[in-house]
Amino acid sequence: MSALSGWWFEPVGRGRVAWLRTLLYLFIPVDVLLTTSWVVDHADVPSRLYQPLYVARLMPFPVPTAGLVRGLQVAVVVAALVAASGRLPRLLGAVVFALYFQWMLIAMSYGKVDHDRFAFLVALAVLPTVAAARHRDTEPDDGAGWAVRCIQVAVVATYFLAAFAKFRFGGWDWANGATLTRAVLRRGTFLGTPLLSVPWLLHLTQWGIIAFELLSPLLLLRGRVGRGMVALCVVFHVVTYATITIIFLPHVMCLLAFFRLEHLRLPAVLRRRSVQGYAEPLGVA
Amino acid sequence: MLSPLGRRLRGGATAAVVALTLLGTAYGDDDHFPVGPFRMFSTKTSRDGAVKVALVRGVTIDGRDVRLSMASFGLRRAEFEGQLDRIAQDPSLLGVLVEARERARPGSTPLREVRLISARWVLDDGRRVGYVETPVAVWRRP
Repeated sequence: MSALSGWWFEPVGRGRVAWLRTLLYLFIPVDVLLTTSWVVDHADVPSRLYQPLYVARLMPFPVPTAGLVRGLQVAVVVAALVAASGRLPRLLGAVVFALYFQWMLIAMSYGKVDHDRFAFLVALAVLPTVAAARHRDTEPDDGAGWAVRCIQVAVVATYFLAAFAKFRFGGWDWANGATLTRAVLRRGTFLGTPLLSVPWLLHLTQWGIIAFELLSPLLLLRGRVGRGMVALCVVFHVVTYATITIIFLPHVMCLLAFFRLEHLRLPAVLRRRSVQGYAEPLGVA
Repeated sequence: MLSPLGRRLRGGATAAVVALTLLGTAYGDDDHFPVGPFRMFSTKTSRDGAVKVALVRGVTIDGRDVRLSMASFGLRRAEFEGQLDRIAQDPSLLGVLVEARERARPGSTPLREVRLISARWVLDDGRRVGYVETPVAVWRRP
């Protein structure tokens, strides 16, 4: 138990949390306004098509109206931009988490649930637990370590448990089906569609996906194995996007938690500005 | 450094989320988002089965047959598919969607008929060998 606890609270430089705050909070406007802009389209969908998820039914949350959806969209973006400045990280971080979580309930309550948000939601939940931090703070901290580990484990869980969802819903021989043929028929790009004439390659890729998902805990290893696995994840997401236009962008952003961001050095020009600007908020060591 | 209480609180929260996530994978469903099973592409399509896809076609007020984008109704294709059975049982939902579409996009060409269609590609050993379209629900302007 203490070994597990030691591993989960293994200190990392607080600068990593500062970087993750900047990058993940800045990603929210991109996500809300650009890469998953379909969420706001739910503003115009009749309430009879609203199928609230379990959590949405538990919470005192009204049926989304056009005004509510558009208002929430503005609130999420503004809160994330302010939080990205690094000010009041606990309070603003909690506000961003609450608003973005609500945004996700609106996104997923119309008949389709995606599973590309788990690690991102975990990240938004744990970032506010760390006190204010400078980007270049390399001093090891167990609170920062816990937060970073939570994000890393959530990333691994997204892959690893996806394999078990395939076993549960598709059967142990999921990989011998034609699920990728379905994916390409439904969503194939000019790069993906030619694969339909090579069914054995799609079949083989299904085995590759199961293997990749089951091996995903290797992400948690240090050194070349861990780094190689992060690279493989990026390749997996890029190829998936190129062939069937699906990309788990919020999840991909969370892969940043595996990098030693606290050792990142801004170019001198940016660094001088950041002394007074957003990159060095609140002089807490 | 974290206080002993800070550690215990974090440890407890971690254990709770891990437990809920594992339960979600083992017994939960989409409804339990965000701790439901990670089930995108988890169902198996038989190599000799069929691939289904929903689409919406319509007839404009001046009689033209058109394919309608699902986004123009504010929904993603998978969301239409997720509610296909509901709409099939109660085609008035299609009418409600058309009304909302016209409210949200007053400039769009008015429609006199909208058909929600389930299309199927038939597979033979993983290759497509046929294509069939079946209407699931029809709405006609009263």
